[in-house]
Amino acid sequence: MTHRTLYAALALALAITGCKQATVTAPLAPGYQNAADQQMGEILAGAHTFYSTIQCETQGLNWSQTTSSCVSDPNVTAPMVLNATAKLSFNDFGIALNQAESVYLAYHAGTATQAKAQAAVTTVQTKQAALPIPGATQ
Amino acid sequence: MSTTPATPAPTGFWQTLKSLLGPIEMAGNIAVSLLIPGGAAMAALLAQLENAVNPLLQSIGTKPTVTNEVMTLYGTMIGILTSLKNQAGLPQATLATVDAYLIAAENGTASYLLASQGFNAAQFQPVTPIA
Repeated sequence: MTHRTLYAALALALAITGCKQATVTAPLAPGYQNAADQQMGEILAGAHTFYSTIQCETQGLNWSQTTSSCVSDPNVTAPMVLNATAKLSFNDFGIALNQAESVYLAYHAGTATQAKAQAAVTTVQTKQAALPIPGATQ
Repeated sequence: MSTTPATPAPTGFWQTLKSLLGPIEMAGNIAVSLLIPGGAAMAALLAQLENAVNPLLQSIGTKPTVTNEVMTLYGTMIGILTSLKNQAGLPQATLATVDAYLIAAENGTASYLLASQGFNAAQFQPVTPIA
């Protein structure tokens, strides 16, 4: 294949695929200020419910997103038992969650920097990822 | 000559997995923790777990937003927990733990999706310590 043919093939490929990579940008959901605001809100909402559900399960209940409280649920038949280590980790996770949500709400309101909010959200994700499994041998 | 005791490098699927990316650490923790009591008898489960985690590994660097990766994380957690739940002969206590985590992961997913529909400050009320 000559250089000329190669260049022609390359030009054709670029013409077909486009020189710039297409970027799909999801529309911003109502109430969020920007994409970072929405991403952090989604992450924290999921983590918040994850924590709250575990907390409710230690009482033999389930978390209700509707009422934002623990409610009885036939799927939860017995209280979840957390050993001391697990409880410590979950409560540490809860503290990080409260701190991150506070900073996030300040960022959402325009009174905290994005960097500060993102650092707090990252801490929550790190602590969530490191949670031990209650009752397991670790 | 070094006097530091040589520590063997961690090997195995989960150790490799855990070194790759932070967000999958929880999924790894779940599986490793639950596998320990079962020991070698649970080895056959590893292939199933690997299949559950593969979508997350394949998604690294290919998702347009970090939220998609987080979404995949919850999906992975549910996949792993479901695989464990379907394993025959699980101790009742382990099964209860798996069920509890499954519910928490599913609820977390639902909240995550709800938050993607719009901002709601009520989702960020302070949590209280677990007694």
